[in-house]
Amino acid sequence: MSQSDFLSETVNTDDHRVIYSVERLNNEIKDLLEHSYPLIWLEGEISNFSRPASGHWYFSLKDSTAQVRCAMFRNRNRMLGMQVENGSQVLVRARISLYPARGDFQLIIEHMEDAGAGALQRAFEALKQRLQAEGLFSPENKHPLPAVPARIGVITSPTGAALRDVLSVLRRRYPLGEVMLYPVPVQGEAAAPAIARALQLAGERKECDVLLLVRGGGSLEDLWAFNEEVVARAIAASPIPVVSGVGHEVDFTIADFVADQRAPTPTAAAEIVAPDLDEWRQRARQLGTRLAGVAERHLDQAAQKQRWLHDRLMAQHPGRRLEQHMQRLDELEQRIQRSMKLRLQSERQRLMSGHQQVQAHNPLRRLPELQRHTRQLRQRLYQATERQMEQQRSRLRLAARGLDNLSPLKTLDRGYAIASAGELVLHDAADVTVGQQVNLRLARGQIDCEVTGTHLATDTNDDT
Amino acid sequence: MSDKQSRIKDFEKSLNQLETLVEGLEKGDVPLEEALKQFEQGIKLARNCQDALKDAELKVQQLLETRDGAVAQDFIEKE
Repeated sequence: MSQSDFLSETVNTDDHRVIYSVERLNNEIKDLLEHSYPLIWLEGEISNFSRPASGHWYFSLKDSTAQVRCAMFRNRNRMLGMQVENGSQVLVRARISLYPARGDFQLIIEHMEDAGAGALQRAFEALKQRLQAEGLFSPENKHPLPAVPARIGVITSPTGAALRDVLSVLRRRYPLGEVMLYPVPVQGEAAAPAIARALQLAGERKECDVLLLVRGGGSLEDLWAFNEEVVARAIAASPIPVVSGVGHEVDFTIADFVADQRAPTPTAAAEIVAPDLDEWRQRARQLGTRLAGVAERHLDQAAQKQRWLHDRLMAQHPGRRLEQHMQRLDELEQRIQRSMKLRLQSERQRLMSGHQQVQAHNPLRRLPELQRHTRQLRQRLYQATERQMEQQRSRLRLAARGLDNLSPLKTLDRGYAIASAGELVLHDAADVTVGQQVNLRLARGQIDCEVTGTHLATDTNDDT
Repeated sequence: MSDKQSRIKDFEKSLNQLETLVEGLEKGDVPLEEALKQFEQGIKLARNCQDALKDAELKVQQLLETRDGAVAQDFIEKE
């Protein structure tokens, strides 16, 4: 390094010759190389592989006659995830450059693949072109898928994620379906012949309406069985429609091109073949509703007809006639009652007028007149009696006046006395006994006497 | 395609029968006694369809090749 510095300084003193330093030369060559070549793809075998603590990789790529130095820096090789060792056949994408410190022409590797994969890719393209030319991919050779597959054949590994995905979709969407699994290995040497055999067997047995050829994601090598010709031809020969669903969405296999339908994933393959049961469910429900509606309508009509007939029948019922008779009877009864009532009324009226006539001759009506008459008669009687009484009273007064003149009291005034024993006025001495009390009434006062002796009269002229 | 009847074919058949029957009844020219018979059948069909949909469970078999030929047997999925 110190020497080259020295040299460059000395040669630059000469104005007529352009003298490069080694460093400048190498840097210019480096620029030239890096700008003249695009990224190139290169295949070779790794040798002199070294991996220092820095993590960068240094090796040579060689083929039978040549080799080139290579560097693959840590930030690139870290992503790679593949085993690299001396003797590995690899395909690289590289920039062409130069390591100025050593003047070594070298490749800066940006990407590396197993060269085996590269070979597979070429084989894939070759087979694809050949089969395409044969017409295996043409649309007119493809079978339509059944709308409602009774049984779905699944050709895959019994332990793979693909089967799990397929069954999960079918259980959810199409539980009325049936599945026949044709278990096969899906990678390795045995895979392709086993898959071809399963396709053939399924075609012979004809127990399925559609076949799903599925496998989960993996590397190109993992999926290789699905790129094998034997599988492609078995798919093409299958009398049963085949749906392929291999790897992920980005993976295309030969099987996908030959299959009657390609699905991006196993899940999608299952969804393609499974009819949506919701439609059936809806149809069944609608039919149930319609049936119920029709039933109701029929029953309504029958009920209506029955009611109508019943009404007509009842019109003919003896009971109905009886009712009519009863009604008539009621009517007649009412009429008879009405006429009776009228009759009674007129009779009552006659009775009333008779009564009034009789009443007119009622003796009681004459009573006041009779009473008046009686009163008059009584008054006349009173008056007559009064007159009579007055005549009698005046006669009496005249008589009393005469009588007074004849009164005993006048006699007593003249000195006489009236003897009496008790009540008895004594006229006869025989009326009293000796010792008996006798009263003497005088004109003025009285005298009590006791009989001391009696003198009986001998004739009627005796006055004592 | 299998010769024997499958559940989905039975279901489809029932559904189609039901549809024919309902359409016939909807025209309304079926005598009452016949209509009643058809209702009964229709209700049975409708119930069959509903039950089929309700209780349906995916049937999974696998075909194993033995010395005596291929044998289908129930497939039990490993968790």
